[in-house]
Amino acid sequence: MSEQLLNMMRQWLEQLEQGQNSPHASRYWQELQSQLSQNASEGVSPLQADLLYRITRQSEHFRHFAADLLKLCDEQQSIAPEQLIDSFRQHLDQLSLDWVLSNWPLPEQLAATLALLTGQDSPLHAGLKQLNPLLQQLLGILEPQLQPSVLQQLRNNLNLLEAFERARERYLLQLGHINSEALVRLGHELAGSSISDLEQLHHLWFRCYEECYQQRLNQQDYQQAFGALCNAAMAMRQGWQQQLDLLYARCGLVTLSQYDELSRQHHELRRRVRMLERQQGSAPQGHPPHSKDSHDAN
Amino acid sequence: MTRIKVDALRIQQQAEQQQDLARRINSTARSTCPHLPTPHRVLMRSGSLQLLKFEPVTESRIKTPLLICYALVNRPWILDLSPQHSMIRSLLAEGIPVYLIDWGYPGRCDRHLTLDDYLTDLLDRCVDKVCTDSDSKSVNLMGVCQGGVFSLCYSLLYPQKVLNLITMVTPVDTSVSRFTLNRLTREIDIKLATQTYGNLPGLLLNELFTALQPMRLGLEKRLAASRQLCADDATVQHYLLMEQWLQDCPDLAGEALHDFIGLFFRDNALMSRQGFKLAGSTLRLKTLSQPLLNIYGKRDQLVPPEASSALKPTLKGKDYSEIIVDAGHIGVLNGGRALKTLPPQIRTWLQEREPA
Repeated sequence: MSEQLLNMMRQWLEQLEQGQNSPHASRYWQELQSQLSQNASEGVSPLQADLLYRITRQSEHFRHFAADLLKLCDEQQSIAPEQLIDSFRQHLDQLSLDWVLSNWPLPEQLAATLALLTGQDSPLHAGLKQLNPLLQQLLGILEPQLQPSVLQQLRNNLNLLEAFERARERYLLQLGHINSEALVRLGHELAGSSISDLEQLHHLWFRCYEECYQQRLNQQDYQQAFGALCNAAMAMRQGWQQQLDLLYARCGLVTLSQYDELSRQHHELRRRVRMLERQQGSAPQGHPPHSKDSHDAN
Repeated sequence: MTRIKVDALRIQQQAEQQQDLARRINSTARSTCPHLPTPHRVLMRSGSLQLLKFEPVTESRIKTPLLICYALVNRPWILDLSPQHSMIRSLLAEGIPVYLIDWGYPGRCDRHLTLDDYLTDLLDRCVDKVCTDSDSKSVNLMGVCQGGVFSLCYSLLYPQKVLNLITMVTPVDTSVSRFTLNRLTREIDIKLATQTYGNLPGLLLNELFTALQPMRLGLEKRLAASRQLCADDATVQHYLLMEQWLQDCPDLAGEALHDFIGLFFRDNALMSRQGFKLAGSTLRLKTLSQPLLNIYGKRDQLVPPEASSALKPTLKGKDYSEIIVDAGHIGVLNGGRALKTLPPQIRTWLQEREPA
């Protein structure tokens, strides 16, 4: 998260704490909105934007890693294996963090906030860690104005966000194990060799990593950590949706669950029509179709 | 430990090259790359489903129409990516009449579509429509990946409507040790997934596929991307079309996904000796009566060869043939080797089983 943006959010929250009529609250809110809108994309298609973003980010990682490696070289242009592995580990940690958070779509509102809060130079996980206390603070401020049921739902959602964070850390630990195992393997492969090509180094790494990853993937603790991460992300999203349903219902709007129920009934009717059509098609002409559909009993 | 020699100059050059490539692809990646499908017309629509009939390009050598049943995952245009890379065009060139089911993009209102609905309603109506259109009593059914599972089930449910069956890169035995997708998803609560999302988002599914080989499909691919995006026009076009296809991942109808995972992943139903319940019937794979051509990739990481070849012992003594392509999952559908060798082999196999 950019420091400037974080400060603006804090200032806005402080003004809110002082009361809704604070003369500065609306000014801070406008500034915050303006800052957030500056980060909007330039109208490139999502696919291309994603491709550009990923490649640019990767290129940056690549460049940083190369620079780090060159710094570690001595006058004879050689590097200690431990230093190389350590530098590579840091390089990979960055890639893992990016990968885990980009993998699991958060509720749109939360994901959008995170995407805006997280600058190119700041790791994504920092955004998530900072977001939860901010939301807790916001909930504390709004508590007197909220109905108990809404408040309870919001608290549940923050608990789910915390659970997601725990599941994410548990999964990151698994990735950390894989990275360590793969780095040991890489170290063995590199012993006595020379590095003249960074791409070859990466390809060697991919092979070492995939071998370790496939081994770990067959273990139950990895499958559980992965499943827990998915389930925590989904539970969090479901909680947010229930919150929205509650708000929509209060406004007299059709909720998503009501819409789903209508769809379910529509499919039931469609199946019945299809069955009747079939019976009609197979019945001898002049005789009405005999329906065995359970609805006939009603 | 021995110090590792480093070619500092070369590394410096490579870092600069990477930056340069990232700058250059900025304009390339923004260029548009239209998909040019083989001429066809829409024969039937139902919700987001479209049944396509492709225009013949030569005199017909097979009378019975070939209906391609693609998976619900991803989009079928990988079979017709470009005029230079098109399985459909190559099949047409062999004189095979080709129809294709494009399942489309299920909307929120489709979340209650079940596996039964897909088989006994949507797929069955497509088969009927193709038979009427081609004045044929039955079809040659070709199922791709998950579509292969659908095709096997459909052939068991409606044996009289399928003359010959072709399965491509189809997961049959999902318990094999290298079937990573099953292991990776074992602890995922599918009921929670359908309750949460309604339909499982395609984006999430795509990430799941990447998680099967995260380094290879993630970082390694992206490292190669910058170089490919700065190559000649044909390479750039092909790369961007493949990327478009990979990202074009429809959501999966919730109930049908729940049924599919439960039956074929968790219960490994196709391998069950006792059979499995589907669409009001008990189905047993060993009772399959149609001639079967099973095509799979030797290097398929998504559906490992042994998951597909499990059909062979199950159908022992029946008219079973197989073609093993030296390719991965996508390579079987779109790779140069497959496009050259498979269509004539499929035509010959069908011709030998064409009614007199």
